[in-house]
Amino acid sequence: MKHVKIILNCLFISLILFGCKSNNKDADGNEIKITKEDIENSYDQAQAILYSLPSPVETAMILESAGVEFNPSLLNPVSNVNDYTSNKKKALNLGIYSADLSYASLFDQQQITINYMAASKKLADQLGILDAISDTTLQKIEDNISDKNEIMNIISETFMNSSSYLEENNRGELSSMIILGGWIEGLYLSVKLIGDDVKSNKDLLDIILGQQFSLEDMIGLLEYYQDYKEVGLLVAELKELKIMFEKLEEPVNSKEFELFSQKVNDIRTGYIE
Amino acid sequence: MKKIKLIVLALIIIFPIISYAQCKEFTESTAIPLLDDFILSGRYNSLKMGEGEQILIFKTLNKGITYRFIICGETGLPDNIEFEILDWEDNLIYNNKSDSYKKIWDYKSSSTQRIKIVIKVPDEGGDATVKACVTLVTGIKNLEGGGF
Repeated sequence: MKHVKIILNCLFISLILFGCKSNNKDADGNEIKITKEDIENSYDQAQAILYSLPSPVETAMILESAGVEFNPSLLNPVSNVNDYTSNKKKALNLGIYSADLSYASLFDQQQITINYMAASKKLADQLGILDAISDTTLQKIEDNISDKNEIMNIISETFMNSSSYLEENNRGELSSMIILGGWIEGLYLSVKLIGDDVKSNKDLLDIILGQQFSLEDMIGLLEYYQDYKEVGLLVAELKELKIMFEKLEEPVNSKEFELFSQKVNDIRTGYIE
Repeated sequence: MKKIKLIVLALIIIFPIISYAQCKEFTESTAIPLLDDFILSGRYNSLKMGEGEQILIFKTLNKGITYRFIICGETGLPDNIEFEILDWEDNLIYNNKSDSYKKIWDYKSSSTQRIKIVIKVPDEGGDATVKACVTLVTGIKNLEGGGF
């Protein structure tokens, strides 16, 4: 079964890759002749296929670019931190708190930023992620609290350190869950911030629709680890979301969006409860 | 034969995970300082690669964000590591081969789009068994590219 899944993954990727056009232009619009064979050779010869997912900081930045407001009631309360007993919940919520932290920080919510970094540290410690978020990190946050750029760098660094520490220690499935938690929280914030009137913020709607691409990458990343039962369940849920995403074609139908929004809410609720 | 194919496929999937850990120090000391005022966008992608090898990375670019792509190869590999960025229909967006094999490229996407990044280590006739770290780091800046 495991082998079948691997082959299907590769076939899927191959189908996407080999069904493509081959006329290319460079950055200045000049035609560059790259044959279909060149491109197929590129893919054929690839020693590895990797996924580069957006970090919570990037998600917060695109939210800011859409001109949204800060709404503290949307965050996963830090008081929940003691409720997470399984590693799965700890990893997912470390990602979720990282996203909340980035969102709060970008909107100059200094005390909330400090509180969410402390909650993130607690989960990182419990996951055994040594030094990803140290006391020094917390102090650095407090010392630079008015320097948004520096705070964003610290958050990015801790997010990277957390996931890379887990990779290094053969716990990549937890690393991918942290990334998933951060991604789903970004999507949750987006659908909540746009509210019922999907036409109220075209930029935000575009951002939400664009997340369909990241969802593909997210599923691809998680499928590396889908032999872990917990990951398999998460993937199945994301595939349900993917089906609903595919129905969201412009002009977006309010009813379809409501169903989609409810699905995002349900998934996120499952993670934080 | 079938078994060999399965092993090769499994290695394609497992290989990045092993290599990632080995290249962390190299990435942090060499590539991340080149971010300048860009913010690191989550995890970087690193692999041990040899001459003639290449990797494929899938990434989504968000509209309005300026991205910095940094490619670095460890000592022992040829200097002219090539990276090309293609859109989802395989239209070429950038190739550093026609840009003096630059290691850094900044790009602002006019739309949210999924891209493919191909990184190639040229075959210069060296020892094919020698493997060294190649890393791709992505940095981000907000809308106008002027920090926050």
